[in-house]
Amino acid sequence: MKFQCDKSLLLKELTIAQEIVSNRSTISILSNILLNIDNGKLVLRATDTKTAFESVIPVSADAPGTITVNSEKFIGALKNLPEGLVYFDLQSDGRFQIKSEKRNINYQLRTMGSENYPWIQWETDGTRFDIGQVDLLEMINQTIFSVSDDDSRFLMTGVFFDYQDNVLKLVATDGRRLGFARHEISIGNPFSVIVPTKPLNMIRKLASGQGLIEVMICEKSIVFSLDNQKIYSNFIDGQYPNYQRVIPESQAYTVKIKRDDFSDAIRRVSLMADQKSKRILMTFTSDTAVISSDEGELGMAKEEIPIEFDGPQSMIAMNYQYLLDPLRVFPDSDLYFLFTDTKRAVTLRPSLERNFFHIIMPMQLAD
Amino acid sequence: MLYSCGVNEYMSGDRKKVENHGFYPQGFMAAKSLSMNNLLSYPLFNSPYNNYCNFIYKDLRSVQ
Repeated sequence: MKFQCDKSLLLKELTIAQEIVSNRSTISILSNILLNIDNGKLVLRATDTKTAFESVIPVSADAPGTITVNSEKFIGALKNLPEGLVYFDLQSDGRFQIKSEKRNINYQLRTMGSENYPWIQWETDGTRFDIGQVDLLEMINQTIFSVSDDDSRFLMTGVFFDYQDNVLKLVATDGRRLGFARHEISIGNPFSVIVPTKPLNMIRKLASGQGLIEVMICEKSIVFSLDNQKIYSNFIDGQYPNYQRVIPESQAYTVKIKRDDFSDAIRRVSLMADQKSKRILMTFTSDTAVISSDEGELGMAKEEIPIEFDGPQSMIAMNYQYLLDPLRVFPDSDLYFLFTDTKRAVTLRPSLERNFFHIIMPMQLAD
Repeated sequence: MLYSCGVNEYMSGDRKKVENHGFYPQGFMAAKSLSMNNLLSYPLFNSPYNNYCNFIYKDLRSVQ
């Protein structure tokens, strides 16, 4: 096996592959990346057995072959080489030689055979559809931060893809907040699946935002296809919570706030908030919101910002992180904070024309 | 009793286990793993897990 390739071209793909390669796995071959040279192309594969990445890179190949090498060391070696062409050669003793055209450096990585590499036969039949990269990216970006990081609630550790009546909905929740995004698209049969965050985070890194991405919903897995890359992932198996039941049909009061005023004030006040509960207090009057922290051992903070509000004076306690996360990805300069009761779900949304919103549960005022 | 009941005991629905418990080390660990956010935020969904959070929260408040 012998080939040469531009460093930055290969490194870009390897960095994506590294997302799913486990460096802590007890199965050492899972820490490896598979490299296959055939017909003048390099096929690069990485897997953690539940998610997989495959990329086809055009290279100048002199001899075919297949090996696996430690991902971390391979990337580390490449990163430290100067830009330009890099020469790769599998030696007769099984070591993988890496040489730069510009520096007299010679890496010799140990390899493992590809016969034990756990590349499963991923499903190839399913419901296929194309969706604009910009649309899918926006849906992922608006929801993915709301997934639960608690493994004991594994159903909530993924994003729910729910398609029916020509509308694809993405939903994520950790049981205290919920992100929702919708996109009108004609696909075919309805489906409801839970997709882990790992492949979705890879799409965020891979997708340029231009053109389309092909999605295939199979029986047990999902496949995303870009130009030269494929991402495979098993679904999270189980029944997603009935999210529709917790989305308020209407809210009694609307607060209109400048997004930057709101997020900057929350960020400043949060410095003095209790870092375990992350609770801040918001008091809304007709033209002002007072955002404050609890009185702590080290002090407190309070800031006033202008708002538009026509309801009764109200105080709501919320987790400041639950507010900052969606504010980071809100595209509009104004936002709407809708509520009915200080103990019930709040809706945070940009302009009413947008196809996404967030539901956030308040916190108890007294502790 | 503070941190008296683990999430599994609580979710088992066995009132005897919940009420006539001793000190469960696993209950202590489960309660410690609940963040203050989980204890103080109102839940979106009615679930045994959220009921457990409320149970622990009341337990915490009862000794304050």
